[in-house]
Amino acid sequence: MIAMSLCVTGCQQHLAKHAAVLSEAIAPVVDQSAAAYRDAVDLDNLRSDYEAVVAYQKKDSSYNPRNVPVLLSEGDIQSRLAVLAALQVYSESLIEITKGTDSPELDAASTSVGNNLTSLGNNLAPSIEKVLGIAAAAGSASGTTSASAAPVISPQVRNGISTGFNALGQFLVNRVIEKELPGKIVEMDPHVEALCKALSDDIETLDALEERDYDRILNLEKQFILEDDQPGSNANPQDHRAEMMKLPEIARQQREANEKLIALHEAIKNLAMTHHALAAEAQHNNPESLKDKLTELAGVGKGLGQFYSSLPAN
Amino acid sequence: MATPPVNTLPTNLLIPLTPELRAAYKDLYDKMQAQLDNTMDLAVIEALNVSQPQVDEVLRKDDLYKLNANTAAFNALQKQIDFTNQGLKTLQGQISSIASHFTMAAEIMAAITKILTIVPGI
Repeated sequence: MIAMSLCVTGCQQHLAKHAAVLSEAIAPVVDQSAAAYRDAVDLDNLRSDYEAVVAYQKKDSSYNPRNVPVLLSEGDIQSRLAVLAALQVYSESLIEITKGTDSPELDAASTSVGNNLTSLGNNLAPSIEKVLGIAAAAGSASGTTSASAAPVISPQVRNGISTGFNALGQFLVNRVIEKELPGKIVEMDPHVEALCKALSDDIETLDALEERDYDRILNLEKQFILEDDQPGSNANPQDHRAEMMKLPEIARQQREANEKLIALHEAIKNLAMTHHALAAEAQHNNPESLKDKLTELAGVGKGLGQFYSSLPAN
Repeated sequence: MATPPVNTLPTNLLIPLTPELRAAYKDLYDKMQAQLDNTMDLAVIEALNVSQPQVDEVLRKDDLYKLNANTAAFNALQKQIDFTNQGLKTLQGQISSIASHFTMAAEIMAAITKILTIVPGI
């Protein structure tokens, strides 16, 4: 039983490691995606502000600020962020499940079973002895009373029972996890891949839109500055210089925005690969060295030993 | 300056654009932007600031179409991931029930022990 538990737990420890890596891979995608969508909308709104100037300069009667479309509605952004939140729930559930054998509840329950089984055994034994006439015979022969007799189940045996139950519990937990979890992870893999593709497509589109939004803002700024240079424009020289000085800052913002999207693109790629690795591990497709396996098994054995040591000696 | 022939662009464009058509529009846009980046001639800039947005509008419509289509994809994915999360919740329940079965067994043993203690003659 313990050997089987050790074997299954070794596989599960690998899954737990991959689940933790997946959680780390999801975090930057969630944070940076939320920021990327908001930044893109803010930039597009800024561009709309510039377009208002152009419309009024052209005396465009069709222009109405109320009809200016937004790049992404709050609902559009929320439907994207909700999927990412659901992915985080998935990752947290995997971490919880793969640490299933490392459970304080199971430890407490097995200790309780050991204690109560010991009490039961020690209480039941004299009754059985009485029924069978063993104690009475022994007592009449030696002249001693059963009250002073040593308990049938010693503390060491009791601790052995508790440890045995703990191993049984771990085995049962592992059996459930091994039976159910790999299928769910493998089933999830194409969805994670589709999600990463949808996110990547979004980022590519936002990158293209942002590039052109920044171009337009810079182009209009350039035109406004040159118009103010024209004779008779009466532009305030200080304001004029301030307008010119805005240009490099806008270009810097464009570069930073582009770098952020590139980093996000990488984080999305990493997320897809991390989940693939997890799915491969769930199917035991990853070649592992015997040494790694043995180290894990030793770790699990050590865990049971620690549980045994934590039990009271009396 | 050779202003790109924006007025020759097709008026009834089918969105989404084919990759070839999109690449052609992007190429035209980039050429206009290169001209804008390399001139301080106000007349050229004013002219390009009128024609380039028309090219940009085509690309923008294509981009917005893609974002909208992706919203539908995200909504479909949400359902799939929620379904898996529900399965994982059930699995967590199965795991917790193992410890609770042990606890129940311990409670039964404690109850039997109590009876044996109260009625020692059994």
